[in-house]
Amino acid sequence: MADPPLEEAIRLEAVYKAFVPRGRSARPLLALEGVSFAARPGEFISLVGPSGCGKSTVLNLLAGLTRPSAGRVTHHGRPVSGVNTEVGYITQDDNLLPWRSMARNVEYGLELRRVPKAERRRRVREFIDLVGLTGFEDHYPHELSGGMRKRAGIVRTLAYDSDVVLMDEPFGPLDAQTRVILQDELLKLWDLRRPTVLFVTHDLVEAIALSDRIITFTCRPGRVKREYEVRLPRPRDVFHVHDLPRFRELYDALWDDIRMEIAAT
Amino acid sequence: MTIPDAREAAGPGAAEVLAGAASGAGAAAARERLLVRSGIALLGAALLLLWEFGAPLVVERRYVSAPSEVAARLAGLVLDGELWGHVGVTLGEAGAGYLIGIAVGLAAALILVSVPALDEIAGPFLAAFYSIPKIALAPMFIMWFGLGLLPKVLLAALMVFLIVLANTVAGVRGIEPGLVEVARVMGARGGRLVRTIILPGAAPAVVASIRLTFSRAMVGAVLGEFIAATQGLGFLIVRSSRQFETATVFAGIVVVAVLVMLVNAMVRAVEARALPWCAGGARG
Amino acid sequence: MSGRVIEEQAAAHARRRRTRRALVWAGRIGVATGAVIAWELASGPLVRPFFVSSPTAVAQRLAEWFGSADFWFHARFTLTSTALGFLAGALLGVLLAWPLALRRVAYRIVEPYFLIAYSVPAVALGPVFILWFGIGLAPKVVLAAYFVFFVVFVNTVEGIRQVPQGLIDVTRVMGGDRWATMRSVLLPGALPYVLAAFRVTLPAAMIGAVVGEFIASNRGIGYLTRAAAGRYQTAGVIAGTIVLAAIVLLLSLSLRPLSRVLRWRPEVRLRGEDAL
Repeated sequence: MADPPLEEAIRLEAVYKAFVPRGRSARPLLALEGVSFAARPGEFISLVGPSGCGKSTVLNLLAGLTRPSAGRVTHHGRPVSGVNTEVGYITQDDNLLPWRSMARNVEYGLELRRVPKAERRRRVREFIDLVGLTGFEDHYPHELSGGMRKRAGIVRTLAYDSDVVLMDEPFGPLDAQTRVILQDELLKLWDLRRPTVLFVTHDLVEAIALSDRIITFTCRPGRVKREYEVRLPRPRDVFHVHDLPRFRELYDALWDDIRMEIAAT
Repeated sequence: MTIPDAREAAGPGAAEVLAGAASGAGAAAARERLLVRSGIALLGAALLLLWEFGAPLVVERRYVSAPSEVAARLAGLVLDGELWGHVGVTLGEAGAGYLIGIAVGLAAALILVSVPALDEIAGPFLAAFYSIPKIALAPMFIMWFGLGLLPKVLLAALMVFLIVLANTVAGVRGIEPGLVEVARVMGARGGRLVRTIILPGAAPAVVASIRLTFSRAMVGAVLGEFIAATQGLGFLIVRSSRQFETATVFAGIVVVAVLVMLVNAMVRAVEARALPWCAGGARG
Repeated sequence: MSGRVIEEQAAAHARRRRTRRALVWAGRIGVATGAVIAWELASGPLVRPFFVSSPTAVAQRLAEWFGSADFWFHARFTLTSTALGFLAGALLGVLLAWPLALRRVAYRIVEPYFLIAYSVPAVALGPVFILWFGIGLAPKVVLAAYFVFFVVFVNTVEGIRQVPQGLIDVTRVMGGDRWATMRSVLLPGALPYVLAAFRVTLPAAMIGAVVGEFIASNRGIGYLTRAAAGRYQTAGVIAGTIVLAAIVLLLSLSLRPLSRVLRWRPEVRLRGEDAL
């Protein structure tokens, strides 16, 4: 595929990232080693690999929260320098402000982006409705269930409409049923505007059900191991995607990849 | 879309990146250490210089004294032996009160824990007693027990007693119920249960309270001496302040602070030796 | 069927709890009245009234005080120094905490000095303040402020620092600048710690003021108490102590609702509370 560079939403080029843990005699760790990949606008990509393999570091680099030790990270062809406020970032913890009600949390990103009040209220109502949280607007995060908090965190980021959305194991701590329901909701939300999504997970089923492309990572230091085009038709039915032959095929291939990595650690 | 293989990609090798990160982080840490150390030294020097040369420009010297005067006075007190008498009296009062407070606090806590009904009845009284200022009792103690050592010892003990009591009760309550159940299932009863689960489980909270309360015992002793005494560091400080011997007042305060810090360090060392698994685990 | 079982269980449980609570309260009231009666009876035949006075004598003295303008003058003095000292100490503690909590190097530089100042028993500084500011209102205000300052400062710093980095990062990625981070994240995040520190230091301010009065004063309830002790008027000493205790108790109860203002926040563990 010969996409001209500007047709890329994001690109990593030979990115290295080393960390020096706190403490006197701590030795530096290599989190990423020569990672390169790019995403087309509107593509849904999953990064898959065993836990602690630098996948989250990739997201932090794109959000500009850390800088690469070597290599280039670009967003629409421009290098990321400093905090990248043009991406949406859904972190592993929901990171809702505990002192704001659910609706005020959803409103937070719009507020920080100085969206006029009336417009803000309208969009908040719309998105809350989309994920079925209507009626819980005035609840504080600690009064919501885990699934509700996740929904609130996701629509908080999607409500302000960035063209690239980073998601770091957003459904990690949820129970299996809630997970699938949220996957379904996420696909519907994504379909509204089709932003580019970079989705970190270690759940293979989730990765196949959601993505256009899956990139597997090796374990520390994190390197791109292989990538897979999913080629399942959209719109997808996450509840029955397992029944498709292509799903089985991909699942087995991915599992072989990952198993070798886990065995290697 | 093709992905260039990582090994072929242009750019430095892993070793180079690691070395760069290590030296960068090392340099940053070294820079910060240097900054902090020189900052501490400079700030200390600036404060002393300000006190020595700046303060007399604003207020009369006899009000604020000066570091050099305080140091000279401290040396004088040490050399003519006057200091040791006061230190002995105050440390004796505070130490005795400290030990009594701990012993009585532990005993009372064990009684309350083993007789729940008593605990429930005593609850509001203890809460009220806990929140009233123990310092307010000082005049009463002096009136009852005279000018000697006894009122100061009791005041110091009282300052310690309630903290130890409250922390011990909380420590026992805070033991994971699962731990007790597991021990019960494995056959621990009575004395053995207390020895193997209850005491070690409550130990961190108890030890923390013991560590934190010596300064309170000192406060009790010194305050008692402020109000009425004929010897001790509190007496030295108050008498000097009435006679406008500012240098002696500060010398006395320095000694009190140093004693508190020394005893705290000692208690901490003993604690680290005796209970290595809970040292430093409590709030300060 | 199962509904009835549950109902019966619940009713029995509630009954047991009611009787238990009644017993406990009876025990509490019994202990309190027993102690007062024993005190009254023992005073005289068993113990010399000089040592323990008696409940009636103390009550009489309290009644006398409440009826005299003199007492209210002293009370006003103590409360004024408490209020002024609290305001000064709290304000200084909060304002100084902000610039220092956010600058790691600056904080590490001043930290050892704060630790040293903190380990000097505040009470020991009383005579110095008296020396500097005389025996009027000022030294009591300063002493009260000193009692308040450290606890407020330390806990405000702690409150700012415990705000999860994730909330700050998320705010920055969503486009928040420094000011937005401060206003929307750090300030509300630290608020429960600040309020909790206020709650415990208001009574502490009063203790500071009273210590000042113990050491040297001619006004205030601390002075009244100490003066009574000097004249061996036991009833006056006990009455003064009761008044002081009652005010401190009231002050600490009065700020208790402060922690419930924040509906979103479960609980805060305070540092340095025991140091008073």
